[in-house]
Amino acid sequence: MEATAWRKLLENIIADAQERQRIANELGVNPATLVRWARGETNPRHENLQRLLKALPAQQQTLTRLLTEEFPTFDMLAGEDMSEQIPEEIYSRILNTYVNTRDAQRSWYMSDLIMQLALGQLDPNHLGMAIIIAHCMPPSRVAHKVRSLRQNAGRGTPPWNTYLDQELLFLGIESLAGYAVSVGHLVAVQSRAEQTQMSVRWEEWEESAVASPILLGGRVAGCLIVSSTQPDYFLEFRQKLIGQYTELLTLAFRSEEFYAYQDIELSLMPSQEIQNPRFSRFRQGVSDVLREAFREQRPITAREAEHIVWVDLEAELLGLPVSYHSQTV
Amino acid sequence: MSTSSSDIPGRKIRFVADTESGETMTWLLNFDKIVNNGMRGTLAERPDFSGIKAILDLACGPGGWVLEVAREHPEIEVTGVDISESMIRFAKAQAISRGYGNARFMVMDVKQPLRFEEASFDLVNVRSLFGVMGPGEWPQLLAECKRILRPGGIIRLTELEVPVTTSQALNELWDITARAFYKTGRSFSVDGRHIGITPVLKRLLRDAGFQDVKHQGHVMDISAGTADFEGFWRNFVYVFELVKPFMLKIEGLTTEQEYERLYQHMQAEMLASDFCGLWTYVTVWGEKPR
Repeated sequence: MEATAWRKLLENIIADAQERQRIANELGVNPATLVRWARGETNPRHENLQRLLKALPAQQQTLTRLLTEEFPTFDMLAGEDMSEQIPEEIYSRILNTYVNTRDAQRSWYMSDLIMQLALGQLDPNHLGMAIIIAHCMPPSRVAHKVRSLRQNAGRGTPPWNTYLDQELLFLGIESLAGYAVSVGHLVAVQSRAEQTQMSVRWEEWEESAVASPILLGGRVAGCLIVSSTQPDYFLEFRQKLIGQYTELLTLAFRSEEFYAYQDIELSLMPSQEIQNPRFSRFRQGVSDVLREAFREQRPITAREAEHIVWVDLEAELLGLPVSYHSQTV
Repeated sequence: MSTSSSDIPGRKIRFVADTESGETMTWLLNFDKIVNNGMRGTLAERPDFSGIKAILDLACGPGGWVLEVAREHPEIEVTGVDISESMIRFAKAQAISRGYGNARFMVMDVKQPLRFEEASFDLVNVRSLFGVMGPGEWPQLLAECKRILRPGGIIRLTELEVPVTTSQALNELWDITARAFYKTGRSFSVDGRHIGITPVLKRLLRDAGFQDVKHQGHVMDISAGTADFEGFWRNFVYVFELVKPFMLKIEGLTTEQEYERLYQHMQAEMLASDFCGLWTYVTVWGEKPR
């Protein structure tokens, strides 16, 4: 492929590494992809050409002229970029699923469906993203307050696994999710260098993160946590999308799973290293609870069995002496 | 195959779950993920996509395979067709939300003549039609595939067989499924003990006039502790709930009480830390003569 004029213009613009990362984030593509376009190695999708024009307002006129030289069918007036909002059809499908699913299964279907759709829209080019739902644990037996969030459902694109449901963890006030739940609004941390009020525990590949509390009428059920491999990935339109998917997630919870703010008093939870060994037999624990329920002829759902195991584990962890807590929090 | 169950005359074979429900859609989205992962890619048997510009996916459901190919290959036009209008509307909405302009979706019944011109595609993909197609329905579909493929174009079929696992309840649920398909004319099995379609796939392609027919097996590890265990576990929790009404309608197959007992035990047995299972998929492919 010949390096045509628009590609040369792009090459000049992205010679600056910061600008290259900024444009890549606007488009949701890898910075290396921009380089390949500039070198003429690959062609961008038309959707990405429109975004490129939007990302470079100063060069828009020149770039449009040069682009039509190589892509005569390229329509720069194709209208607004539909990938910046949740399509109506997706809203209607989610509502339809909500209405037609039986009570016992609703939470599973809704959270599964919404996580998959959110991941598809927020990371369409598989740059690397994790989407995790954390639920408020019910008020503890002793203090009658919500003391932690449990993280037990998630979906990812590489380098994360497709299913993150096995990465079980209790989150407390020390976590980004805990912080977002306490302040009651979406919190974004755009890079590891950013100074924050909480000590964010970064995962290996994580470069930016958002936590968005799941709220209904001023009560909270949990938090949606979105992590990216790209720094500064959570531009305004992506935060807005996350906010909208979080609103949809209220449909994955029963009304009694939303807690008033006066009932929430998150604890400092032990570090992942301390928690991990306790989760190693989590599924076996759920299996045991299910079997016991059959034996006693009072069958329960897997969800209910999971819940019993979570409550026991939380009590065990909250009973730990403070010295067990991670040094870093 | 003369002793295999035959089609029930005058009765159209339909999908075993409600194609319009959001639950079925959620199940299929998850199913596409585990199968794509388990087969290590969208076209695992090919070293690359060279020479392929237009692909058709038949009975695409909510579009998981089409969207994945569209993402990987912006230069390829990928079309998905399905009988369900709501699946197609939903698949389109996903393509829009992801900005994949090279993914197209259309409502079409694969049991009718396909509304495409001759030689429209370089590759036609068909996955998991075993619950929808009776043995007698394959020749017409494959003839249609051959018509819409360009000379040298590739047909590709992927089907599954019952898994082999350490969960007695899961094995029994699959046994009921195999018998249900046999009793309702969906099966190539001679005795209802298997799905039975994987061994005949190559013959189906050869009989339809495709050449250079090859196959590749994929063995998916669905055991406890594997990376995609959650996906497989959800798959069975979803699917055996969704097909329950279909199973209970078949006389002499099972009872509601027995089915419910197996469904509950299957969940407990799969969650045990010593649960092991392998699930076999077979892909066969052939070329339209040049």
